[in-house]
Amino acid sequence: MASLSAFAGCAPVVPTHEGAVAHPVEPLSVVSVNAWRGGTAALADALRAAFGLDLPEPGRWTQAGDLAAVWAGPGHWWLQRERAGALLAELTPLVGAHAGLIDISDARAVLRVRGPAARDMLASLLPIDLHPRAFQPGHAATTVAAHVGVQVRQIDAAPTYDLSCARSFAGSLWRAVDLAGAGRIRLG
Amino acid sequence: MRLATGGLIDRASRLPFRFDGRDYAGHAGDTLASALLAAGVRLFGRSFKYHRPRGLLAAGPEEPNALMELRTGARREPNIPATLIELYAGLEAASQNRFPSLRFDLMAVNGLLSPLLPAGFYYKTFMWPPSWWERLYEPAIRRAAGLGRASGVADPDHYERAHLFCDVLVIGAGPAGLAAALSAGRRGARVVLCEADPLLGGRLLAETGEVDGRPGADWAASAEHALRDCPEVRIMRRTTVFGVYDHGVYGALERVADHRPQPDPHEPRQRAWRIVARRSVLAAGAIERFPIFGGNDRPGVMLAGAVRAYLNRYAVTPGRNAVVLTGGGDGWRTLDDLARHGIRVAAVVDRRAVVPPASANAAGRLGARLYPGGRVVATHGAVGLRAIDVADAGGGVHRIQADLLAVAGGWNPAIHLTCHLGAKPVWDDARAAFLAGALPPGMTVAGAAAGHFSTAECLADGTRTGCEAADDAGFPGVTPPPPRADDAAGDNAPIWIIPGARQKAFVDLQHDVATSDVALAHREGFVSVEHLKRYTTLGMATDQGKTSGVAGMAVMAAATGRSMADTGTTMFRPPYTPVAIGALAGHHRGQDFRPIRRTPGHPWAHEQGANFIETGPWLRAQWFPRDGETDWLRSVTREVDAVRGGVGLCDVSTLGKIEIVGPDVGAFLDLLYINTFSTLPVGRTRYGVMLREDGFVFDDGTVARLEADRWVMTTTTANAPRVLQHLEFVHQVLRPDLRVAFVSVTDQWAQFAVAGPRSREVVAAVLDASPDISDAAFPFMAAGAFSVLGGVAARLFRISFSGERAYEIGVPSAHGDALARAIMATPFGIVPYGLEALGVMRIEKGHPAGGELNGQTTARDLGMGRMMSTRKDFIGRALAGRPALLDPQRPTLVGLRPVDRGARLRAGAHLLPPDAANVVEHDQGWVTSVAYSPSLGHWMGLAMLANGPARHGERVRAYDPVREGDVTVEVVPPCFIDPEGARLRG
Repeated sequence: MASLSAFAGCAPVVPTHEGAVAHPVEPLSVVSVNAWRGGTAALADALRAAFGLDLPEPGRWTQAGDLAAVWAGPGHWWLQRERAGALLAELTPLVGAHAGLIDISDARAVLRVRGPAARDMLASLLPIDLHPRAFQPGHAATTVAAHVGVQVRQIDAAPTYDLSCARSFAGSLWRAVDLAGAGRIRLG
Repeated sequence: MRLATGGLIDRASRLPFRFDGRDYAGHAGDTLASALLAAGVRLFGRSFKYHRPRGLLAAGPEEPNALMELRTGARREPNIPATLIELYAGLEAASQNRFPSLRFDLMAVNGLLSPLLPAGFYYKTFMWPPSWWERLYEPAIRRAAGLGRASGVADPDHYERAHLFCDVLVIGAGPAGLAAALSAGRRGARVVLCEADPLLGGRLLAETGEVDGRPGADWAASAEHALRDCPEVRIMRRTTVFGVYDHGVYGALERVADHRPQPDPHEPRQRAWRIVARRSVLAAGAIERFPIFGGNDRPGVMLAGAVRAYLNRYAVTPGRNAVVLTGGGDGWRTLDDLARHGIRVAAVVDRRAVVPPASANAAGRLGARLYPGGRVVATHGAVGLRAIDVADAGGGVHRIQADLLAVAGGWNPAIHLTCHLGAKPVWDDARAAFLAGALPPGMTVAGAAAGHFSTAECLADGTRTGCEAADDAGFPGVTPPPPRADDAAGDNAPIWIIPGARQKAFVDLQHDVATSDVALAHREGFVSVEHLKRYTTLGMATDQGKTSGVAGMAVMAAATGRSMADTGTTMFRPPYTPVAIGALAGHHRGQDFRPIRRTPGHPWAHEQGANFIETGPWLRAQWFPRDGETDWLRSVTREVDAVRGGVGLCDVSTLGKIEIVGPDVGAFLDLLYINTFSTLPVGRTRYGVMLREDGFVFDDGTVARLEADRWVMTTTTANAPRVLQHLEFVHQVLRPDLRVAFVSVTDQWAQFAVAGPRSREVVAAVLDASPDISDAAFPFMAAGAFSVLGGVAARLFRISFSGERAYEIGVPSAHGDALARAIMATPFGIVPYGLEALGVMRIEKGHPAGGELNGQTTARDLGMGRMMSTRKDFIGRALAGRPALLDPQRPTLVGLRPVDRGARLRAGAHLLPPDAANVVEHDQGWVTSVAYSPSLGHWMGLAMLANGPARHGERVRAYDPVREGDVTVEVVPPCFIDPEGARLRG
């Protein structure tokens, strides 16, 4: 059952200034949830009943317990949890009637960036406005970081951000964060 | 010479530096220009074409003459104006375009030849013979002309790109910009204030006037403090806004470390900002004009505003014995500043016939001779100004000893950025200047850039525009009274051309364009200023004509007898000042040029010594060289033989995988593919072909039905994103009623092909709990869920690209590396094989791939016409039935083998009849894919040949004029190995 990190082989850089740190979020369970046409309300009700989780509006994410819902597109969300396990099997009986469910746990690689320098560092990676007036905890965006497609979530006001990319790009995202953060971020 | 007092320099500091191999020292706050000027240096460079001696003209980014090679070794950078180089200890700079030395330059002989080197000289002279241009003329001209030298080695520094968002972007931190930033910042708006200089203040640093009862520089410092108290104001020094783009996007270059010998560790040398602003205030100030008169390029001729900047900001006098040439009030300020520092002013030449009495009195008091209505007609001095010939209003010429000629010909508003979206400037007679025409959306212009030339006007204008910008951005409030200054409104009196020149009169100093060149262009019929610019190269040097452009228009206007308004001006385009390509690239160079996708099995393949190849963003194992294998063909042949004779392992994770769920997937797939999928039973896989709406083949792949409502589609590696896009379009636009949901699972599953006669033994050995995968239980095209590695969910597909018995096993990506190692650990002699062996085997089997799926082939062309269902609709059906696409003469897929079995085939060769001439009329098709077949022992190819299927057994020629190939080949069916498919079924 040996599993390998999406960031295996990415060399940590020598810390020079710990204005922020970045580390992989692993393991992770992610299920893509597409509401059937006209089924969003029923999906939302089912999730609220089962987990107390509200489906987020566009550009937002929500959390109940250890389960998070991230908006991913019209009628499309990702339900995710920071531990391994059969999330798909758990969700299927609860919401499978209202949505198409697909396991993408291993398709994503997530870097969590945290610290006072995180916003400045991410300004050199992301073409979106991360100023607190524009982007806050609970916000999510789908954008690019150094030409790598990413989903960005702000976790808290530290600030902490999660950058989620397709797993095959993990090495390039790591490298981009390394370059953007050089001198102000520690990777590990 | 350094003045005894004053200036914004730190006299306690001593910064040693070297220029042209000599040691100097300056102070913190100096530029290289001011420090050299303080040391008495007057000669800063040689001109581009005639190698004439040139000195400092300006004190800012408009400087055309004093271009330097800065730093040494790999960090050497050419063409940097000395006026922009902040002095640091240990700085090394060299002058350019001189040999062997600045004082004694051999190429100055060009100047003697100047009557022979007019505009268009090179075009006219080096016309014949044409073939000599590239080999002889151009290299020789480039050696003689040109400016500085690049380092020639890789840039050791790195650069960064960054993004910034704001409510109000203020461009320029002179009085107008500071007032605007204060106004908007105090309202709480997010303000970004960009200033190219290291200090805020603009002209306030260079003039002696007061603001709010304090020296201008002091007021600027207090304004900066006030801005720092606004938490949402960001001050960006050493940052030039160089371009305006659509939707409120601005490009800016921050010189992060250029003022130090080299960047700190990890620090980018420069940072290219993409600034998105709701509103912007352009307060870029104005650039002083360079008047045109005889001998106006001699070192010692300096813009009057620059003279004041050197006196007041840097405490340096550019001369000891000055003459002032002015068109109006501006020059008289220079007289005052020179006199205050005890510099002798020998004369004032005022182009006005009547000089205001107060000015005349001042001249008299200071002992300066006054020439109302006078003209400067010539200058003298070998490598620096020594005397000036002034013609008085009556025509009498007087020689005046002087080492400095301060010229005040009015100011051009710096409206460059207003033109970047295509708008033309508009001539304003009252202000004697081009002003902004239509403005980029969201931009207003303030201060001198808007034609307000006094400090009082600038402060008022900045306050007003800053408040308006804040209002527009959603930060309403009161408009405060502007800071107070009491200078008089500027008259901006122009001096364009002074008639009666007795020497060459230059327009563009950096490109050595003189009035005679403009006149020649006019004589030769150039009327448009855009043509004039390109013919004479006026304004096309690194300074982009900042001091010369409008003057050039004036010369053209005079030559054609038109007004300035009718003559117009040339277009300003980004960048405002030069931007290093490296800054635009940021980190994306070398190995970081673009992102790379690696498969889950990459670490394993790397350990296996794989040779990797880029396919799109992916890195794929191309082959796995083993000891003693010196060329790729030997490795590939061994890998193919191993698969055909035993078993091999190939990472196929890069193929696109799309998981599709829902009750209506069958109907969805029936619409997408030419063949039927709704009838596919659970646990089975089917090959399918998709067309574009125009009837041509889009992509191919397999679809497996894993559960009643859960399917997984594969696509080619190259088309994976496009197929997903296509599915989204079909679902969202054509059939939103279907209950289907799908996402890419390419990254979710690591997938490996296990191929060869012994593949079943290998697969059986890696599956948990020894399930029955006999041919009866798990036949060709079966699919199912299994478990491997002691409990990892796996998907198993009995599909084959190689033509052998084969399986593909998928596991969640985190387990891909472990699965590859587990498969390799089975005791059946398995060998890894790469993309090349995969390609050889698919050609042996005649499977179409990239060369055949080129967007120009139909299913029929590929021999799959009968797959097209006649019992259902599918995308592309109607247009695939167009008569032209049913023409039997269309090139159709065939196999080729060389008649001489030793001959090599080349993809791209064209197919001609055996005895036909090699002309395009005889072209019957082309070779799409070739490989050496280890199984056949000779080269083979796939090709598209007119009426191909009817011509099996015929001979044609594979003619390759590019590589001089001409091989007679036999047309055969496209499948070379096991056409009955006995091997893949077991």
